Amino acid sequence: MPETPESVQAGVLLLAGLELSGSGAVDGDASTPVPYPAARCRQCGRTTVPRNPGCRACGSTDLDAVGLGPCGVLWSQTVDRFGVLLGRPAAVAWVRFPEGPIAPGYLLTDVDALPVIGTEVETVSYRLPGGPFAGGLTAAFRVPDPIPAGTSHG
Amino acid sequence: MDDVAVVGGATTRFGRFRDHGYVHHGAETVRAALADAGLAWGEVDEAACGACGVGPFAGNRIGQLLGCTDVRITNIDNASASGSVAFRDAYLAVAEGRAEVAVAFGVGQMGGRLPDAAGGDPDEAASQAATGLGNPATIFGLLAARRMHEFGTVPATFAAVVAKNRRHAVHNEFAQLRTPISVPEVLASPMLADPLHVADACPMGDGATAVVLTSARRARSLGSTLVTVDAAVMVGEHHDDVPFPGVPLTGRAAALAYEQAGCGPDDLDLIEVHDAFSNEELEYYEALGLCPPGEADRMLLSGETTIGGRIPCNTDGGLLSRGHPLGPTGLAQVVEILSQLRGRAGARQVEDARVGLAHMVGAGTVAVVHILRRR
Repeated sequence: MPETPESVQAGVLLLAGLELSGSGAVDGDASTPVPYPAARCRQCGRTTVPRNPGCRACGSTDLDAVGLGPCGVLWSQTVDRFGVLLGRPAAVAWVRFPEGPIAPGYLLTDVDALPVIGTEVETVSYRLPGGPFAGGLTAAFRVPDPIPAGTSHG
Repeated sequence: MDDVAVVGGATTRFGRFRDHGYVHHGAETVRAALADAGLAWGEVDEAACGACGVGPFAGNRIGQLLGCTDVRITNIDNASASGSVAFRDAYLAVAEGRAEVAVAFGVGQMGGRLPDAAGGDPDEAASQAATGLGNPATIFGLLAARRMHEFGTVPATFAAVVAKNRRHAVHNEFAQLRTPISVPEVLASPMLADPLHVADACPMGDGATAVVLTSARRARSLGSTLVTVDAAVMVGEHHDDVPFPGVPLTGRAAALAYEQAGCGPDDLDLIEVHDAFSNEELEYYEALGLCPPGEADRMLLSGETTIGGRIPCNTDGGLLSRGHPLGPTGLAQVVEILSQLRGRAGARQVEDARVGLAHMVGAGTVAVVHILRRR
């Protein structure tokens, strides 16, 4: 792992486009769903993650910044038991969004009680709790809180 | 265009070495492969060195120990597939007439740790930290969990891949891990990335491997068993909307290789596939067209891919047991197939082996498939 660049301080965005995709402030408190940052290509029409300077499918730089979700379906999940990136065990997921792409991210859950594949999850902003990039902001997934009994969806 | 033949091969045992570094190991192995072919370094026109994580111009450092005799040495880094790509480069040098004799060699010196997955790039390191995908085990844990969901595979089946390949490695003096391991023992090892355990992953190690190629005409004059390269295919990354492209890339590479070789999966007598993690072997049975999707578990558990079965896989122990020092790995597959096609594989010999396939994936971004045939 290379040394952490000086520019990575608490609150610095690690996932390109995250700051553009939410309607409110990206604060890493994991309480407010935010869209997952992606790019839609004006040349080939594909929507891809991550949001790179060039289209991952065709290489065009003629891209629109778009947000996915914020809800998607858990496509797979695992636990990095040796805590390679965060210095502690961390659940990691691939999530399929309704727009098509399957995107990676941390899964905010008990690492010994993972939600089953197929569970609906939502995207939230997340402040990394450890590792060389501690404090940096990214997108993560969590299972939405159940709606309390008697509460209307509105 | 004349056929291209493999006329020599040699490998070190893979493991942790403190006597020599990769430069000495590489030079010793090239000399041994040339001796196996009945040729000398002074007769080599071109060479390609596959290496990953050992520093720049590894091949040239090794060349200086072999003699500065005008050999054109190309250095190749395609992660796990570095040696396989070096083989293709040497094959093309002979096939295109640039070289009468070419050597592909690979070296690795991991020192018990993985190379920096971000390649020293701080932006890439930040991206990996942001998504949680900086560790290969995490990616293959995700792939394994998905397979369990789609096809009902159970962890014991992943463990059965490890046990099968270790049974093969018991008979391979060059394998890094040779002690038999049972399915319960694999499952009792610490969890690495659910559902994969530590024993579901290949060991890290050091080592070197070399292979000598020349024209079929020259090979006949050398007098050994004629083994030709009927396909040497590499495909690059294509956007597939799947999170791990290595599986569809393998399918594309295999289709091109079968076409180039004029054969199909039913014609293969043995295969060497990329099994850095146990679940990969199952994925690649299917991607190589050996069975329909979802049928790999049955194929493994019925013994079809064990020595003595319909199409033995990883007869030298595979990455899981022979080892995976990155640079030499794909070439070690070729050395094993060469040994099998020559009938020199001893207790792990596949009866009347005539056609073998070697397969590697490099960081999910390239797939390489080679097919060798005894004439």
